[in-house]
This record gives sequence, C-alpha cells and structure tokens, in this order.
Amino acid sequence: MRAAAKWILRNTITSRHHLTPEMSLALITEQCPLWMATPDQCPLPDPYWAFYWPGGQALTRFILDNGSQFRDKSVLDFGCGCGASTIAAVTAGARTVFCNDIDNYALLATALNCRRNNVLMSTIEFSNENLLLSEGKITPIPDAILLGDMFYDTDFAGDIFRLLRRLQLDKPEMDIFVGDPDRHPLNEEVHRKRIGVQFERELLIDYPLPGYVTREHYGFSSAKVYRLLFV
Amino acid sequence: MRVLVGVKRVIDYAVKVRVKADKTGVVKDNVKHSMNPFDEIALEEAVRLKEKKIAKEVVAVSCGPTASQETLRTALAMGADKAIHVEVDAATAEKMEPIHVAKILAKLIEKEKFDLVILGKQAIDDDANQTGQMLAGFLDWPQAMFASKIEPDGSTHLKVTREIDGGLDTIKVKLPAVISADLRLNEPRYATLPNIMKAKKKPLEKKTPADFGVEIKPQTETVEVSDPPVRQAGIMVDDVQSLVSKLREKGAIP
Repeated sequence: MRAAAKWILRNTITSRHHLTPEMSLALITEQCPLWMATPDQCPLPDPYWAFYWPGGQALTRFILDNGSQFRDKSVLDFGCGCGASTIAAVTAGARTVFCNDIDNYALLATALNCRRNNVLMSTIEFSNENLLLSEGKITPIPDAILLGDMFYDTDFAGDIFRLLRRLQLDKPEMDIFVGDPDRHPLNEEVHRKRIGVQFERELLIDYPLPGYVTREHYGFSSAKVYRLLFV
Repeated sequence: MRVLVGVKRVIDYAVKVRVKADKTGVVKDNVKHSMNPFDEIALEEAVRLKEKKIAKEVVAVSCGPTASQETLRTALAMGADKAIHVEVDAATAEKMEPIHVAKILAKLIEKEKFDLVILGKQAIDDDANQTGQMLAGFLDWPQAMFASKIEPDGSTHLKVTREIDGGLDTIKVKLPAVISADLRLNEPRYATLPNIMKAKKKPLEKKTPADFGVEIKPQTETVEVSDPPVRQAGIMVDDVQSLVSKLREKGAIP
C-alpha cells in the first residue's frame, strides 16, 4: 500500500480543473504521460479512481451547493473512486460517511485526497466490501446514497437498481442521489426495459460541463443530478 | 440524427506486407492489425458531429472475424456510443467482398433507423473503394464520396466538399445519405486511457450475416497474389553525350 501510495503521488497531478475547483484532487489528466497510455501499461489495474468522471463532478458540485441536505446525515458513497463526493459530504457536515469501493486503490486515493484537502477522516468509514454480493446486509441503512457515474454498464446497472430498490423498501425516507452525464443504462428506453426495474427520476440540476471536461469525455456536454424513486 | 460508421480491421499501415509462398494471399498471422485509417477519419467526423450536437448517437459496425471486436473497442474508445459486430469465421472473412458488406449494412439500416452513414473511402488492404457506392445503390440514398469537408445545410441536407482533379466540388445531399471519408476530412484523435476504460463497458452487439439474410457467396476468384516487380538496376553513363545517345536509343527523346 505504501508503494501504491507513492505510485499514485508520482503518476497523478493535482488538479482543480473540474466542476469543484475548491477541491484539489490527485488525477491522471491530459498533462500526465499515462493519459495516452493503454490500460495494460498501468500497474494498478483499471484506475477508475484516477479520473473525475462527469457524473461524479456534477454530484459533488450538488453536495457542495446543497450542504444542508447532508448535515448530520449518514451517507454512503457507493463506488467512491477518487473520493470527491465523500470529501463533499464530510465538508457538508455529514454525521458518518461510509466510503465504499471494491478497489482498494480507490480507497487509498480517497484517503490521499482527504489529506490533501485537510478533511478530517474521523467521520469516514472505509470499506472495500462488494455491496452487491452482501445482499441486504447494509446496516444501518444510510440516510442518503451517493452514486457518481456508476451507470455505465447495463447488467451492472440492473444489479445496483435491484439493491437500491430493496434498500428503499426497507427505509422509504432514504435519498438516492445520482450524478450522470446521460449514459445509456439510465437514459435509453431499450436499456431501461432490459434492466426491468421500474423507477422514477427527479431531475435536481443540470450542470453544463466546462470545455476541457467535454473534450476529455468525448461528447458529454452536461452532467445531471437525479433523485431516484423506485415504484 | 443517428450516424452509422463502418470500421474494418486491416493490416496496420506501417507493416511491410508479405505475400504467401503459394501466392494465394498475404501473410496475416502474427501481423499487427489496426483500424483502417480512412475509417478512423469517418468515425472522427461522426464523433465531431455528435460533439457539435448535430448527431445524437454514433454506432460503429464491423464485419469480420472475432478479432474485429478489438477494432470496435477502439471505435468505442474514440467516441462511438455502441458497436455492432457482424461475425464471420476467418475463412469466410477472406472471401468477403464489398457487395456482401454493403448488403449487410443495407439490411442493418433497414432494421434500425439511421440518418447518415459515413464510411472510409476505401480499405487499405484490398483498395476496392466500392462499399459506400454499392450501399447507396441498395438503399437508393444519395451519396457523397471522398468528402474533405462536411457541413450541415439546414436540418434536412448536408453540404459536402469533395476533392477532385484540379479543384473542389461542393455538393448538397439530402438526408439520409451515404458519405465516404477522404484523407483530409479531419485528423482523428487518439483514444485516451479514461476513454479506453469506459469503452470496455459500452454495449457491443453480436450478429451474423444470416441475421440479415445475407449469404457470403464470392463473385470473384483470386487467381494469384504476387509481389510488385523488383525494380531493375540502372546504369551509369560517363558524360552528357552518352546520356543523350542512350536516351535516344531507348526512344525517350527524339
């Protein structure tokens, strides 16, 4: 882990070029040699945590702008990645933030980013548990769940929807916040039908993405934040 | 607007191609393959149309063996939204001709609604330069071949600039249309790490020629594939006088 931390610090740069410039994050950006690399050239496999995906940016912006909704709440950051949403939730005054990612390096990157932004980690509980496997064992059920850019694969999205539906059934007042730049599983009728889980989504806000983010993520020009309600 | 882009997996342009000993074809095993460069340009143009909000969705399609999926993943990493792989076995792929690909694409377009098809003007392996034209024929759509510039002209037409001998030809085509991309249309982007990672998760649909009711029956037979003739060595002449007399001897000057 120490070696991994060193690798992260050596191969990422500190960036404020995103929707939440008040936060500085260790990321692989256009300035890094790895930006032009292929995944097999990267010693830490599939470093999803090294990028600040459009959906994550929008969700984090939303938390920072609507801090009162998260104050004294217990929050689960599902698939924390670089940890931006976790940092925002802590900053907003959440009581506990359950920071979850199946990739240990994502948790490490989150811890490094917390330190970089002088965020106290005493309210964060890190876990690498695969929540999709430990069905229904999420206890206590948090007051809010954050999902930043998690719906990029139809089958995987179906698994998450089924978990969320069960959790919301057990705790109807639980809020589900989703940040997404219109990827196919959430947005297209064909894929939503294939998933077969009925839900309603309430659009909370639509953030236009800065030009450099659009350029980095070919074609997405805005990212939206939704509240999901299963019916 | 939905855009369909055809991409073909070919021997990489930088590879020195070798002819098989029995002259039936070229050596393809253990040779680097990549996306046909003209198809990269076609795809880049489609992604740019999407970035300009003119196109809503870009679908990449490839007809070929299993390995064609690598090419489709590259297309997804370059910005296509989804991919369709029309799979044939390696032996059938050898026999596949532009007319088969054009038939498959025509059926695909009949099934799923597309407003624009962009193809590379030709593949650098067989240099046939036929698929786009045949496809336009099957669909009875207007065609704009060898495009060097594509601009929207209202919501129903495109203005396409084509490079022709001695100048530029600008034409207006009504959508839906088939366009083929020439070298100077644009400069394709590189697939970056985050986009390659996301491309792994984008949808890739698998089909077969039978799904489109197309039978791969070759219309041509390859008689022989041979190396280009080796250039003959020249001769040295002593002075201008002998150069002139040699040239006159060869009939190059009167």
